Amino acid sequence: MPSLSSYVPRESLVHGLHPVTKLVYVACILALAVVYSTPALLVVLLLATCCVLLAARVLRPAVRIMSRTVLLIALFLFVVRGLAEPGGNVAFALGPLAFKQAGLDVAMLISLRLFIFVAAALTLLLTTYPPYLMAALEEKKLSPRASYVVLSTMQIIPMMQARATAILEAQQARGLDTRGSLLTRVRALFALVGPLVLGSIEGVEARAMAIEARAFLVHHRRTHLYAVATSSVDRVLMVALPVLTFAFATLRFLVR
Amino acid sequence: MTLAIRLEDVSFTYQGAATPAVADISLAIEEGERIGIVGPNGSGKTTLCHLLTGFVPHFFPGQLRGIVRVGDLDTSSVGPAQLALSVGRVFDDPFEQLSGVGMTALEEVAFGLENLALPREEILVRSEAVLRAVRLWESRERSPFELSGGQQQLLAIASILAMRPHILVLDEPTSQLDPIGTDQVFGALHDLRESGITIVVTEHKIDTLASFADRIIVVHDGRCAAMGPPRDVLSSPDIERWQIEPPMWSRIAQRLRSGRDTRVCPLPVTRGELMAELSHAAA
Ligand SMILES: Nc1ncnc2c1ncn2[C@@H]1O[C@H](COP(=O)(O)OP(=O)(O)O)[C@@H](O)[C@H]1O
Ligand SMILES: [Mg+2]
Repeated sequence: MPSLSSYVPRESLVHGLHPVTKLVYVACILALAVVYSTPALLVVLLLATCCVLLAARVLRPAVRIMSRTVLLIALFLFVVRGLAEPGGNVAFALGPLAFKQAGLDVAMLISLRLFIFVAAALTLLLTTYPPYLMAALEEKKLSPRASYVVLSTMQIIPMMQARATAILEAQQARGLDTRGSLLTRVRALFALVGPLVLGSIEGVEARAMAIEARAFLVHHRRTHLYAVATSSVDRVLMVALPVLTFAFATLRFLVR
Repeated sequence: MTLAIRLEDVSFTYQGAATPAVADISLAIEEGERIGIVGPNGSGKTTLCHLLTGFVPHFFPGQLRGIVRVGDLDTSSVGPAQLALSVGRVFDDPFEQLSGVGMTALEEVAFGLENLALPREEILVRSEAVLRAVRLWESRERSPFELSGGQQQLLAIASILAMRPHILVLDEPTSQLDPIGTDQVFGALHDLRESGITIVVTEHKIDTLASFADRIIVVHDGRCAAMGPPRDVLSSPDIERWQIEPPMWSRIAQRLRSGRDTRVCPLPVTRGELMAELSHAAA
């Protein structure tokens, strides 16, 4: 089973930043994505987040993850919103299916925001060693309970992936066909869901016992194996990012 | 001698279960004693371990009767995390022992020490010592999830030992280990004797347990069927009724005595005891 993290070890400036600096970055991007409401500005913002991913040398894994998740959601949105819109201009039609312009516009805005947010969040997830994040959050006075929740949340997707892989391998070993026609694949998917959900619930219970046995939360304070350094770059960014965000937010009123 | 553990008429029924998993158990364990618990599957060994570490009744709901005192704490009012400061618990499935916080074996050991709020230097010193003791120091940078079942078991034990509990409760700690790994674990437990730590261990490998434990407790259908020194308990004619495999050494001795009455002198249950009997017979 692989390690339970999506962390990609690389040498980059972004990797070396304090985890809280990266959290501030995610918050700033999120704020801008909410404030901006024109496709042009959102596209520029998306390009900017991709540049940061490139600088962090994790653009390729980030695109791979987004193409499997956000891209599918976006396509779904375009179809549903395009068809469900009650009236207005028809942008294009596929046989009896009429896609309405207003619905597509809404789908476009939501999808862009989704891409931007996931790109920013992946900057944090892919470049931050999870134990550093936990240490950094607790160093900034976040309670150990809360930092543990953050860490567990970060592990949900890799944990599910690891579990799914293990279950699939076991089912294939028992002779269940998971390849071939669409129908057999769908059947295999259903066979996967049950053990995945049950296994995850059991997993949560076992982990709760495991951390109790290690005296988690008995003291109000924890110490850490790692010391997370705050560099001068971090100090500058922690002030500069919110200021820049505020400045860029005003673009909203200039670009229509 | 001070008591490390005291159970008085303890019974526990899991919520929804018709019969108690553990019934009418009374026992007193002295500080520094090494107790081996044996019994067939489903006899209540794990539940007994849960009782000693507060997971029953704080984690598994159900009806608890009687008194469980561990050190000077009453487990009905102190939860597992608080108890973990003095009572170490090693679960039967090493995979379930992993905190999920440690990305490497070293971090997994460090997790418990971070919770104890120890200084960083102390965390490093203790982690290195226990990882070397179980021969996992070379693998300290590896993910706990990538280790073999046996290595995970050793890591689980190391993570608990690093916290330096006064009492250690191990539930089938060698279930995934080969004979070499088993010897390694029991060797490590043996070395703890000088530290005065009290050890309670459930184990199916009866030969290993017979030479390790000061006293054996036989659990059968949730009840304490017998309790005493290994030689008294494991040479008992009732051993088959308890569904326990007799130690290899007593089976050999039984053959050698060929039907002579075992009640006159109990059967040897360790290699040493068998050797003593043989040299006595030769003289
Ligand atoms: N969480 C639980 N809920 C209900 N019953 C349980 C639970 N855990 C164990 N039992 C039951 O309690 C009895 C003793 O189990 P256990 O303590 O696990 O025995 P052992 O460890 O000796 O195999 C068994 O009959 C088992 O089915
Ligand atoms: Mg058991």
